[in-house]
Amino acid sequence: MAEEKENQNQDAEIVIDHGNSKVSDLWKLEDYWTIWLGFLILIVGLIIYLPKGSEEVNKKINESNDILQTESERAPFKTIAWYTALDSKAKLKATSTEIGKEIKKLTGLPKAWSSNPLDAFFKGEEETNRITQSAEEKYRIAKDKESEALVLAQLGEDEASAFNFANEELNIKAVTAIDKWRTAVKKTSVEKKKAEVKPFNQIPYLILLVIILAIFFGIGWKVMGNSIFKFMLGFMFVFTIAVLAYTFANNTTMNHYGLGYPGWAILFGLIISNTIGTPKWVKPAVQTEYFIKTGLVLLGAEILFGKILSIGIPGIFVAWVVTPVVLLTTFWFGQKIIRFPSKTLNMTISAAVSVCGVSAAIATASACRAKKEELTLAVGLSLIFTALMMIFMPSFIKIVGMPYILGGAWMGGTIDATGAVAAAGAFLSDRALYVAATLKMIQNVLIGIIAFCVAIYWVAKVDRKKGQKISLMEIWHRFPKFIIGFILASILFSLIYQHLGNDMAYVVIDHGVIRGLSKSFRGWFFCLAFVSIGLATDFRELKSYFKGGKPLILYIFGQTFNLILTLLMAYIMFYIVFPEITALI
Amino acid sequence: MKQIINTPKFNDQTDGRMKGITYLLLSIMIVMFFVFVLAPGIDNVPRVKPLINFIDEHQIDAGALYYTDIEEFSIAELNMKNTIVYSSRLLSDERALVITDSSKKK
Repeated sequence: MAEEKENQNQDAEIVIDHGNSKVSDLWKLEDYWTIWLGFLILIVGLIIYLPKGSEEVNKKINESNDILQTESERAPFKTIAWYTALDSKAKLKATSTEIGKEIKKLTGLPKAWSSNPLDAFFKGEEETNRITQSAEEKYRIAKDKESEALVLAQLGEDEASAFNFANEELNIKAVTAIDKWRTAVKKTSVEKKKAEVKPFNQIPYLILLVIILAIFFGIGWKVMGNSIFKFMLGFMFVFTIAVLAYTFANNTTMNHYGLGYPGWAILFGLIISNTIGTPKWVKPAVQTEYFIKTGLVLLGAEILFGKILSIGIPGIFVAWVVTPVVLLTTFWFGQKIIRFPSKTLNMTISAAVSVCGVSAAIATASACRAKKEELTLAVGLSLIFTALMMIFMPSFIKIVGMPYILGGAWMGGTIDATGAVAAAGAFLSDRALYVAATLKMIQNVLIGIIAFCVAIYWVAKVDRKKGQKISLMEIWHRFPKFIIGFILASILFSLIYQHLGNDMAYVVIDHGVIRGLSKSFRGWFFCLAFVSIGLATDFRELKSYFKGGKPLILYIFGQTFNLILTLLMAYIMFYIVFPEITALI
Repeated sequence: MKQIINTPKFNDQTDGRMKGITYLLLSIMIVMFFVFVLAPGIDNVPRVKPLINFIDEHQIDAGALYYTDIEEFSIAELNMKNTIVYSSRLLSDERALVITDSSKKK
């Protein structure tokens, strides 16, 4: 018992392997509990959302697909009917059902605000009426412009059709007019959202959520032999800081720079622990590993391998060649050239640079058992560079006149954070966004493989003593078990996705289990983990990692190499090897 | 060292707590300055402003962590998937290349 306690204390710093495995590990070890808890949410999600894929939904999908097929055979570009059919498919979401809406409210975050933080939690009828009145006018104008653009697009398409789409000049004219109509459609959709703001009070839902989560994690905590009461008491505090982190992340100005909840959660935790100190009664709930690993099991369900095959061959080549090369080169540079003192920090930074910033850093740090301070440092570096790259890369692309599709691929492969890629890509053009998003999604999916490989490498190679031979059983004993849950969730959901087919899976998995349940909980769990990291981190320890500026040198080297290699590879793939696919985008 | 030993423990704790509270308040002030003064100031830098306006106008969650957190990615994915599946004439038609060449000059 004393040994177990000691192990748990060490676990608070890093994930420690145990030399043997027992059946009781299944309910006594945190790693297994994170799997049970993660899968509980996923199973609930499947029970709620799978039945939403009804015959009626299937019929609508088939109708849209028939139109898409007919239009794709009729014209050498995407026609108005093609886009309209696509829009019909896009509207089919299991999250739009009543239960989906209720879950969204329960797991909802503090809303966007600009000057008054209370706006994040509460908005009265009077205030919403004032907002919607001005928004409705803008919505009406946007709708009128959309109608005008549609008339011009229809005219252009009819002209091109009259020549059986054989006149190149008329085809280009039609495509340009259709593009303008699509931009107008997008604008109308944004204005519609603004005009549909309803009064809300998020506080009762947050109270309900904190109770549910405290019980959810508390049960596992109790079975592992700890006090549930002490945990729940401390959890209230950790959750409150997590709410504060989300509130600041949803400030409109902070959103401009991609400063999301991870940075705020760590910062607020750090401020508390390094000024007044983390209160003693809070410490039982400062459980970084418990929260982060449960979040990672849920993240596994979002790693869908089928997606990467269906969203673009050039992107696959760019991501699958560049990402591992940059990861390994940056790691090698850290070990051999600048002689990085910590292998785990080196790997965490290398993954953040080469894959996709914070989410990759979380998965890799957990897989290689990095220290909390190391994850903090990697996240901090990633957030700063993401903000800079999101601002400067689109400007640079415009100044040098780089084709937007190439620019999109370049940004998708290099800007760390997914949200920043969306902002920078969309800022260039819709096509740039499509390419940037495709590349980033493929990288997102790569997290699963990279985390798994890193975990194996660490267990079999890095942690091995000199001259020691490690058997398969030994690898199993030492292997971080939550990774199994992470990979299993990914395989299970990839298989379900494949079985349902892309269209039905879009309705019940993408916009059902994932967006309707698991990703909200995953976000909360990561936020709680980052708060815990901050609450358990000593500034002085963090400072020691900066010695010689090595983390910064490593990051700059990795990112520079990434920028050069991605640009080169994107050019080769999108303009030399697969120009016909580029033409379709 | 001698000084510490001679100082009563109670005063040490009180001083430490006061110091902690002072640092906490100072940290909160720095955060507030960043959120309400410095960052909005950067928003107005001409090179940055167009992107900021675009993010606001399109309500993009620039701080999102993963592709499932962003609506834009869902739209992009749907578009890419359907483009590849439903593009028989496009793929066989060389005229499509001309269209892309013109669109990239936009």
